Amino acid sequence: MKFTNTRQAMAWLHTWLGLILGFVLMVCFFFGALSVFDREIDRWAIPETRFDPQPMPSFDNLLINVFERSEPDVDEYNLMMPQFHNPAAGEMTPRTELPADEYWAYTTHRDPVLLMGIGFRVPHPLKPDEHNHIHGSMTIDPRSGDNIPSSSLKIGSDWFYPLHYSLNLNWNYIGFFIVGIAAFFMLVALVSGVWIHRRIFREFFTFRKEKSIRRATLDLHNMSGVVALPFHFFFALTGLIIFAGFYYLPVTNTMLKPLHNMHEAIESEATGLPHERSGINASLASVDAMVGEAKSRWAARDMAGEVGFLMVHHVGDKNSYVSIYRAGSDRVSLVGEGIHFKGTTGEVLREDPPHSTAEGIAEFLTGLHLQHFEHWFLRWLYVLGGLLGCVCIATGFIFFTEKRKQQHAKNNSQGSRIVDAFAVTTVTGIVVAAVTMLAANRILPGDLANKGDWEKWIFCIALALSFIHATIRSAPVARGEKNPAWLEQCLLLVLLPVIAVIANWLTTGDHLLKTMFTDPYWAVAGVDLSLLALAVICWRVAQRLRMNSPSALVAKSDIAYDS
Amino acid sequence: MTAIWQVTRRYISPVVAAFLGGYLFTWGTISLLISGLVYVGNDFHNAETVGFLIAFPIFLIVFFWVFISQRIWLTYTTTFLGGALMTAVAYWLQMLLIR
Repeated sequence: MKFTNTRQAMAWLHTWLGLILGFVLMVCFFFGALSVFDREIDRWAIPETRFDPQPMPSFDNLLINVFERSEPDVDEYNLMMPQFHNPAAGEMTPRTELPADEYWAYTTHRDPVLLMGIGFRVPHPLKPDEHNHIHGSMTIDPRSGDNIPSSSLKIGSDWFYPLHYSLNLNWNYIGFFIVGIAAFFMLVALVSGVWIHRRIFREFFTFRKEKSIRRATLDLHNMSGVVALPFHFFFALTGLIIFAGFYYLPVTNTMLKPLHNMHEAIESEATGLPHERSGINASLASVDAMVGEAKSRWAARDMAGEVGFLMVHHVGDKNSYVSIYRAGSDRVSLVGEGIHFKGTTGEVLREDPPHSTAEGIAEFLTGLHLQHFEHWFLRWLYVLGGLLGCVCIATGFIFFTEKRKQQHAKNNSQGSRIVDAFAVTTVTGIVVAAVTMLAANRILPGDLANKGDWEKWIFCIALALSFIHATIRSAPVARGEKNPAWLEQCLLLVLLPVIAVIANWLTTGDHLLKTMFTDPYWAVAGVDLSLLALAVICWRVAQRLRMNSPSALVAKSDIAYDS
Repeated sequence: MTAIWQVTRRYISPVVAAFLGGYLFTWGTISLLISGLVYVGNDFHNAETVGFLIAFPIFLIVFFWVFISQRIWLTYTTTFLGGALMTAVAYWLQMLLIR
C-alpha cells in the first residue's frame, strides 16, 4: 500500500469503506433500531392482534388441533419437493398428504399472538441422511386457535426486522452476505476511526454548532461515533457471531460437516434423545402434563417461568420426544433451560446441563444483541444507540460531500452529486419508505387480497422514488450548493407520519387519548407517539434547512443591504 | 482507463487482498482450532463456539496487518499459504477423528 504513514492509510480506509458500506449500514442501524419494537409495530399494523400478551396455550386442547389442520407451504413444496424426492421410489407424495415430522410453537413476553411451525417429512427422500423437511408456518390467536390471515404482514417482525440483517434480498442469501461484509467493514471503520482521531476524549465533548456546516458536521460525527463506540462495535461484532456458523464462516456445515454429523450421533446416544425415527407408529402422551412438570422443575431451581419455545420431534413415532424451553424474559443470556420428555410416556429424558464458559459467553453476547429481556428502559437505550449509529453514518456522508463538493464543482466532477443522492436516499429515503408503508397499511382495505405484498411493493416504490427525487434534484450539488431534496423529503416526513397516525385513528378508533388514557394500549400509543415525534423533528430540521437555503441567505443579505 | 487501473492497483487490490487473505487465514485458524480441540478431547459444540467467538477479532487484526504492512510477500504468504495449510491440517485431523 502506497501511503506515507499508517494514519493516512487508516484515514483512507475509514473514508472510502465507511462511505461505500455506510449506505448498507444505514439500513442495518435504522431498521435494527426499529426492530427493538418490532412486536409493537406488528400490533399497530394488524389491529385484530391488539390484545395483551398471552402465555403458551394448552397443547392438548388447542395447539394439536392447529397443527393437525395445517399444510406445507405451497411455494416451498413446489421448489424443494423435486429436489428432496427420489423418483426411483415412485410418484411424489402430494403436498397435503406429507406427514408431519416436527411441531414447534414460539412466543415471547411481548407477543399476544403465537407463532407455530411444522416440518413435514418427505416419505421417499433422495438423500435419507439429510434433513428433508418441507415447512409450514402460521400465526394464531392463542385464545381461540384461529389463524391470523397470512395476507396480514407483520411489518415489524417480518419486514423491518429481517431488513436489518438480510436487506430482504433472499436470492442465494445475497442480502446476508452484503450485510456481513458491511458489518465487518463497520468494525474496520470504527478501529480506523479511533486510530485517526488521536484526541478522542476531547472530541467526545466537542460540538461547535456555530462554526461552519463542515466543522459542526465533523464534530457531530465524532461525538456520535465516540459516545456510542462500544455499542456500535458490539452490535457489529455480535451480529457477525450470530450468523457465523450459518453464512459467514460455515466451517462446521461444510468442510467439517462429517465431524459435525459424527458428534450429533454421539450426542444423541449420550443424551438419550433419539436422532432418527424408529419407523414404529405411536401416539403422543399429554404435552400439558410435560409443560407442568417442566414448570415445576424450573420453580425448584428458583427460576419459575413460562414456556417460550416448545418442540415435538419425530411426530407420531415411537422415538418422539418433546423439548420444552423457558422464556428468557428475565435475563440477558439466551438460555432456555431445556427439559426433554419421552413423547409416548411423558417421562423426563434429560435436563440440559449448565453450559461451558465459552457457550455462556456466546449466549450472553447473543442475548444482548437479540434483547429478549423485559427491561423497557434498556430497550429504549438500544433504540437510542441504533439512532446514534445512523447519526454517525449520516454526518459522515454529509462531511464527505461538504468537504469535496466545491472542488468537484471546479473540476466539473459529478462525484459529490452521486454521493449526495445516495445519502438522501439512505438517510431520509428509508424513513420515507418505512412511514409510507405504515400509512399504506392503514389506508389499504383490510380485506385486500395479498395486502402484505402490496405493502412491500409500496415500501420499495417509495424508496425508489426517493432515490429518483434525490438524483433529479441534486444538480445544485455539482455547482457546490445544497441538494433541495433534503428539505423536501424532510417536509414529506412532517406530513406522512401525521397521515399514518390519523389513518390509524380513523380505521381502528384507536386514537392517542384512548391508547394512552381511557383504554391504555402502549404498543400502539408508542408507535403513534414515535411517528408524531418524527414529524416534529423533521419540521425542526426542515426549518433549519430552509434558513440555510440559498434563497433564504439571499433574502437575509438583501435585508442587511437595505438596512 | 489508466486512472481506473491506478486506483485498482493502489487502493482496491490491497483491500481485496487483505479481506480475502484475512478470511482464508481466519477460516484456517478456526477449522484447525475446532478439529484440534475435538482431537484433544473437547466437546464439539464448545470447540465450535470458541472458534466463532475469536474468529472476527482474528479476521480484523489480520486484515489491518495485511493492509498496513509494506512487506507484501510476508503478509500474503502467511495469510494465503498459512490459511490453506491450516485448513489442510484441520481436514486431516477430521479424517483421523471420523475413521
